[in-house]
Amino acid sequence: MKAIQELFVISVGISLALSGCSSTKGDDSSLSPDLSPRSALPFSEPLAVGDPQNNPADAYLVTSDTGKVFVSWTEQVLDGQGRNVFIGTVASEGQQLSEIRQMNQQPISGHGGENLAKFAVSPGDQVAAIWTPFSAEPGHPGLPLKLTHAEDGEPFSAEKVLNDDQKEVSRANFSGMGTSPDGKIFAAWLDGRNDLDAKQLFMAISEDGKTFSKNYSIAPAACPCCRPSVNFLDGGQTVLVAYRENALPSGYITPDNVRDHLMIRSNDGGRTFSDPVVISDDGWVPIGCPHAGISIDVDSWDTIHAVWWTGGRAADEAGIYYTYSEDGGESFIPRQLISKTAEDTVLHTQVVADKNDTVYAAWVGIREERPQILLTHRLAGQQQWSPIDHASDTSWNAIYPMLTVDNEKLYVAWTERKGEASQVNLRTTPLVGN
Amino acid sequence: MFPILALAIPGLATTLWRTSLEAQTSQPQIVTLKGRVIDLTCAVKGKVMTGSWNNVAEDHMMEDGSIQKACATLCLKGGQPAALFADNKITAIFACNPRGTDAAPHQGYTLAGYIAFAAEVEGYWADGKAESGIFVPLRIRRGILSAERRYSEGGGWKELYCGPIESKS
Repeated sequence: MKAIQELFVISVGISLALSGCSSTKGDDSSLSPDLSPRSALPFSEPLAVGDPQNNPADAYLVTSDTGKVFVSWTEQVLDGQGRNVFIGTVASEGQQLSEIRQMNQQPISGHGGENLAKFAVSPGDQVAAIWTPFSAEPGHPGLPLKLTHAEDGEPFSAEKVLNDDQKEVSRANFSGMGTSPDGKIFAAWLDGRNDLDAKQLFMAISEDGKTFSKNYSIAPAACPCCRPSVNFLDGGQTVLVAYRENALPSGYITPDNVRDHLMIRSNDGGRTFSDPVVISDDGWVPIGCPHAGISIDVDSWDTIHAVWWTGGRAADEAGIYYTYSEDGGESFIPRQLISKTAEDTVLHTQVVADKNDTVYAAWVGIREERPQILLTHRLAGQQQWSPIDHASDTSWNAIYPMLTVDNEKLYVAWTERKGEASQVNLRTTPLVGN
Repeated sequence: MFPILALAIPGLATTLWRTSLEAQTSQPQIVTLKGRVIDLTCAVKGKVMTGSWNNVAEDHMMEDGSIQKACATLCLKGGQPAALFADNKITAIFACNPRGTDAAPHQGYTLAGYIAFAAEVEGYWADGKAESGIFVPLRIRRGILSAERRYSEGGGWKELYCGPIESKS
């Protein structure tokens, strides 16, 4: 039933002709559905990431400026609670992992998902990683955000605390990280240190990945359970942060609390940020916690691409949407529907642009009552998305897709669950434009 | 006032007795309702005070006009009655505000974890149909769920045990 609802769309929106409009409420009616998904991309066989005995989960992917593809994941702690987090590099054209290192000393949170461990790679393939540690307390009161660092191929440093509020019980979590083209690492996260109704969006910057700046607030109210995204324009001169709004602000669920996605921009290296721009006026008011942030990537022309899920103003507006900005995030074109979905099931998305400016979008779609990882792409300069591809094809539930690219391949990783068991799979496919 | 109560209490007891008897002797028709879980007491008081349903979220307006943060959660944790709210009206009064689960039978009031959230509640009407407005909840899940939870083995549902009616031997 859900599969029927989720109509894949080969989409040429009339609205796209309105590129640059400041109004972002899209006209979805001009889009034509395609009910016959086909697979076009030649995917490699899945690579099982991590030790299958320890239920791997929570994949995260980053390509360094040297072209190394790093993947992180978590595994259950043996005879204990919480999880360990590992990092490795993808070798042999996506068929092998190498240089596997454990990043944590103390167990990390087992929740993963939207609040998964993140890392950034700075020049020389140095890695800085942050995560939420495991808490045995009921109600998950939250512990400080942990931080670690490693030189290329070396063991990770002792864990430190990223948030500088000195509170034992912290409400810092749901992070995003990015490495600017000039090598600085930016970390953004949701922070409840000021005990306001809403969480604030905080940031800290590192020159070397080892130590971070003083923490500072960059947005006064953000949805408390959705990851932010950190990206860059102009060779790092402009810092972009996208997050889900919390309109009132109120940390509580109210009938008029819109949770659309916003973008703020900094032209001074992350010191100050602009007022937020609404990425898409979806008008979604969830009476609940979305636990789903937006995915953003920037192509070689500094066009900002965004893919997200929304429940919409009405049930028939729910779906996976795409938009882009060609003016540095000052405005976005009206949203373009990629796939219709159910309004009550939150789905996770990813977007990445490759060296040819081909844009790939991945999301969780429901097929035969199972979540699977679906993929589409559009070539540079074209408005039309490709037929749908299935990255996963499994009797397990496939969730939380991650994407990255190098000069040759697209890398897709995700978590699969069946009961209490989980596993991480990774596949590659040659870049379309190549 | 007193004569009305004197009539109402035996009436309610009879309804519950019949409900219990029906549950033991026949399978009630299980239905799923959608709405927001609310604290019935504050919602009704707020309606009387202000003329509208102001107290159906997490924070509530008090009689002196002040706002009590997290009032709904506090009330349900205190054992106050719960209800379901949808389309700007109370659509079901829960026959119980059940405490605990199989795993933790003496910890917390389960509905408090769903307060003010959109929810789906599975159960049955006390009189077999919606006329009484009294609903025996059997299990609950969030109205907005990630694909991970909705398609997990348990479907994101949490069992509710309404005292002796649903107790497991």
